Amino acid sequence: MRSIRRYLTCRLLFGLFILVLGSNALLYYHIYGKTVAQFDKTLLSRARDLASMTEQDSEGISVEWREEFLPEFAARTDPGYFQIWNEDGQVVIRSPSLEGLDLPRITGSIGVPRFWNLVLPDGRPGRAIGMRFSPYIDEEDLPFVKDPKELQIVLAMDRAGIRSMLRLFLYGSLFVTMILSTGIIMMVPRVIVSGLSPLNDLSRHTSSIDVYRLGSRYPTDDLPDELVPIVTRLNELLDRIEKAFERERRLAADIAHELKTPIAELRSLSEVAIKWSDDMEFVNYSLKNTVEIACQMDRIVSLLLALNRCERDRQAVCPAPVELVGLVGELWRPWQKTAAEKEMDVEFQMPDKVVVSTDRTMLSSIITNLFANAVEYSPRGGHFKCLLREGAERISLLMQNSNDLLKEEDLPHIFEYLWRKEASRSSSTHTGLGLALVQTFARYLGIEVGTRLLASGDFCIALEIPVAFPARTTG
Amino acid sequence: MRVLFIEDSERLRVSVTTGLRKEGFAVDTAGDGDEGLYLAEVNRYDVIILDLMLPGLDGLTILRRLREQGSDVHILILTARSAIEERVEGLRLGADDYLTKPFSFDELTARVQALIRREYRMKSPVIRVGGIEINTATKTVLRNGERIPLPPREYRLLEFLARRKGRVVTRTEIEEHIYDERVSPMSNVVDSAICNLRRMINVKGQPDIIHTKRGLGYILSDGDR
Repeated sequence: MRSIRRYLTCRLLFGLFILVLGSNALLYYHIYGKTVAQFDKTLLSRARDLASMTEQDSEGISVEWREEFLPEFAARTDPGYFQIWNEDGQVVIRSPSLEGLDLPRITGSIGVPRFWNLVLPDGRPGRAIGMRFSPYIDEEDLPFVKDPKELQIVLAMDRAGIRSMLRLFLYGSLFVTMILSTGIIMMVPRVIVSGLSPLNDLSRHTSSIDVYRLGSRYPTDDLPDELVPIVTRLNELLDRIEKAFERERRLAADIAHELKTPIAELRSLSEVAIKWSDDMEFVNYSLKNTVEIACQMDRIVSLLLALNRCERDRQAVCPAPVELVGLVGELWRPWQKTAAEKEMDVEFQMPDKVVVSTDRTMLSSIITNLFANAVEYSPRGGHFKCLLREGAERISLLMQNSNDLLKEEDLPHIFEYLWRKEASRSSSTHTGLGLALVQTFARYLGIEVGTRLLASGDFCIALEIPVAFPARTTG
Repeated sequence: MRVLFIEDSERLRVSVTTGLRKEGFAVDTAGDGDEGLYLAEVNRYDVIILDLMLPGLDGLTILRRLREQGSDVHILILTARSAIEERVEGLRLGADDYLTKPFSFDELTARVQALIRREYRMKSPVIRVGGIEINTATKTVLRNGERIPLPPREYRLLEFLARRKGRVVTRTEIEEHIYDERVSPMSNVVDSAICNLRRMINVKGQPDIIHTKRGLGYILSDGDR
C-alpha cells in the first residue's frame, strides 16, 4: 500500500537535500569565481606595472625594473616570477627569483590577457598571466625608433592563499550542508506527521462511528482547506446512511409493532381456549380466529417480501398485452357486494377496449389495493367513481371516493410502509402496506401515481399507465 | 369484582373477556375510546384494562380525563407500545400498572387481582371469615378445610362481601360490582343471590356469616352483628 507520509518524506528529503547541496555548490563556485577574478586582477595589475617599466628607444629595449618597486619578485621566500620576451623569443628580462629558469611562454593578444594555473618553479601552486604589450617610446625617441616592438610577458604568483581560503569555504559549505540535511531529516517527518494529523483524526473519528452512533458527524472547524470538501462529502454520506438506517429501524419497529397485536390475539385466544377447553363454543371461535390471524400475518409477510423483492430489484416482471377494461371489471367484481352493503353509489366510465403492455399480475395487485381502500375507507352511503381515459402514450385510470378520514397533511405519508390514518390499527384486513406496494409496483411498471384531495373532501388517485412497457423503469 | 376492558381488537376483547369471566370477574367491554370513557364514567369498576391506541379517544386521553374527574379506579394499561418512555408517560398520567402485548393471560389475571387487592388494602390473596377461607387467586372457597364449589356469580358475591368484611354493603354496590353489562339486575336479584350463597356456604350448627342489615344491605363478619 502506498503511504502518503512515506512518499512525502522521501520526496521532500530528496528535494531539500538537492536544494541545499545545489545552493551550496552554486555559492562555492560563485565565491571561487570572484576570488580568482580578484586574483587575476592583481596579476594583470602587476603585469601592467612591469609593462609600464619597459621602454624602447633607438638603442633597443630596456626594462626599468628595480627590486624596491616590486620586491615580491626578488624575495627569497615565496617569491613571484616574471619573464619578458621579445618577438624573436629572446628573453628581455626575467625576475631574479627565476634564477635562470624559464616560465612557459603562453600569451594572449594585446587587449586580451591569458590566465592559467601552473606549478611555480619552486613547486608551489601558482597562477600566471600571459600577454602581449608594446613598450613605452618616449616622444623624443619616436623619430629614431624605426621598428616598434611587441613584447610578451608572463607573470606568475603563488595561489596557495586563495586555494586554502576556497578549500576552507568548501569544507564550511559541506559542513553546513550536513547540518542542514540532518535538520531536514529530523524535521521533515515530524512536519509531515503533524501536517497529516487531520487525516489521523479523520481515521479515528471514522472508526468510532458504528451503527449506534450514525448521528455523529465529522467536525469541520479548524480543518485544513484541502480536507473540507472530503469531510463535507463524508458528512453528506453519513446523512444518507443515517436516514437509510433510520428508515430500516423504523420499519423493523413498525413491523414488530404490527405483528404484536395478532400475536397477542393468538396467545390470548390459545391460552383461554386451553384453560377452558370444555367451552367448545370459545374453542371453536379461537380456532377459527387463529386461522384468520395466520392468514393476516401471512398477508403482511407476503407484502413485505414483495416490497423487499422490489427494493432489491428481484421482482420478476412479465410484460404482455393486457386488456385494461376487462381487467378493471374483473377486479371490481369481488368488491361489488361490499360496496352494495355500504350503500355506495358506484360509477364506471370506460371505453370499449384499451390494451396496454404491462405485467398483468402486478397491475392487478395495484388496482385491487386501490379498490379495497376505496370501498373500505369510504363512509356508508358514499360514492366511488372509476374513469379510464385514453391517451397517445399513456392511459389514465382515475379513482375517486368519498373520504372523511384523510386530511391534506396525510397525503405525503399514505405511501409509507405500515402507515395508517388510525393509530389504533384496529383493522385486521388492512396492513398499512397496500399503498406502499401500489407505489413500488407502479415504479416498477413505469406507472405514475398522483393523489389529491378534492374540495369536496373526496380522495382521488390517478394512475398514468404507459401504453408500451418501458425498457427500464425501476430504481 | 367488576372490570372494564377497553380494547379495539375484537379477538382480544372476546378472548380476554371470556377468560376473565371464567375467572369470576364481571366484565364490561368497549371497542373504542369514546364508548370506553362513557362506561368508565357511568359505572364503578374495580379495575379498567385500557389499550392505548384506540379508535376515537386514545387511551392516554381517557386516563387523563378520568384522573381529572377525580376517579381513583385502578387502571392497567395493556398496549403494544413497549418503549420505556411510553410506560413512564402512562404511569405518570395515573395508570397503576402497565402490561405490554403480547401478554400471558395468567399474568394479566394476576395483575388485575393484585390491583383489586390494592383497592381493598390487602396483601394476601386469602381472606378468612368465620370458618370460611376464600382464595382470590385460585378462586376457591374452603369451609373447615373442605372445598365448597360455587358458581361464578355466587363466588363473585362472596369475594365482594369478603373484601368488605365487617362493613355494610348496599344492594346497589353489589349490583354495580357483581353484574356486568350483560345482566340487567332486577330488584330481587341480589336478595336471590345472597339466599343462594347462604345455602351453599352455611353448615348446620355453625353461625351464618352473612348478616342482613334491614334497609341498609348486607355485612359479612365472624360473629353476630
